[in-house]
Amino acid sequence: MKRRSFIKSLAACAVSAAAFSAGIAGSALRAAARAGDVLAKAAGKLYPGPEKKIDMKDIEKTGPWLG
Amino acid sequence: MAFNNVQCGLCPKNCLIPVGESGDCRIRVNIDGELLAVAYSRPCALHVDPVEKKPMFHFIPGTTAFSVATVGCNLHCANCQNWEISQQPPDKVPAYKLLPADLADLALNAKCRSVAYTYTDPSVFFEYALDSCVKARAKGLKNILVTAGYLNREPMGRILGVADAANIDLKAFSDNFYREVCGGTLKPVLDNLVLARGAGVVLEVTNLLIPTLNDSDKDIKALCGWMAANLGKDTPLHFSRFFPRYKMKHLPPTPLKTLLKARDIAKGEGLEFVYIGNVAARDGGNTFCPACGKLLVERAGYAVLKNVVEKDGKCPFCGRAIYGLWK
Repeated sequence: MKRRSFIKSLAACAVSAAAFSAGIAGSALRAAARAGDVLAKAAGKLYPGPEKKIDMKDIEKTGPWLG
Repeated sequence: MAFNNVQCGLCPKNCLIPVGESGDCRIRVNIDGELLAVAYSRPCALHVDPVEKKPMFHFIPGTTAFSVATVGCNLHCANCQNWEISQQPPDKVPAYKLLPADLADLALNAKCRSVAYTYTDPSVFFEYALDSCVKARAKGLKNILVTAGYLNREPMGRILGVADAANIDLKAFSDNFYREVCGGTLKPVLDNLVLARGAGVVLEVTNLLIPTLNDSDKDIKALCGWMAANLGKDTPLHFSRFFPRYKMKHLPPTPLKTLLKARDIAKGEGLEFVYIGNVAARDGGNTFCPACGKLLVERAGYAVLKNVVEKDGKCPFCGRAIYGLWK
């Protein structure tokens, strides 16, 4: 009897965990936009790094990067 | 808070991102439950490069490409040659402010024929690359994607729709290599190569040969055989020389003989245009007609010394159509 009740509890836990995961995934999918529609609304204003100024003399040189 | 997670659908990683955090690429961030591309209009690298540097050998040779990158990448290759920008968080890397329309104007001012989305990967600065492609095309510029091709099918199809050329890395013909060295998987890349060739862009493929990791005869033969069967024998292939960088400083540069052997294997598999890059090798960057064997394009490094391919893309000696865009 005890064993049966333990198995039932285990099953209930598994169902709850699955429902919780599904909840998260469902909410995630609702919140997500189609790839390509994700735009920084304030274009450029969300970048957390420092800004550098455009210098054509520097840009017109071949870059140090591969590719 | 867990219910404000967002799932990014851009690349095969499909990151589930909690509020305040970024996806694996570091630049797609969940801000208050909204997925935002924080590097949009914030390129960290802008340069005028020869198109041959991408490398694109069959796409308007001898012209320059206005080359743009933002910080970030969705792969984390231990051998990355551009890790100072690809593997850093955005707060550590200075960036310009440049809207897509201004980018196209800058490219025109610099007398470039094309814009190349390169150095890191347009897969992660997807929205910026996509919008810039549209603006550039409207102003008569061509668009080149230089990418690892690690993108979900739907966005890949969308960006190919506004691109004219692509050089896609096929890093190895091994899922284990992708998992262990790059933090990715092979299949999406193969699928996107097929998609790109079918989309009508000028497609070229790069394979960086790394000693002991992907340079066995068996690996090279498998890669070339797959290319010939699935992309067509006329798809150009660039074998590139590895140099010890980033987290892979313990391996030596690729020996020249390995690159020459790879070229022989590729030709044995029927590939018609095989190049050797990052090293000075006899005929390493030259284009020969697959039908009559005559020299069509002579290159030295990134410079085009001679190009006799006719503007309609035919060999002037035998009339054979040569894959690519030549005018």
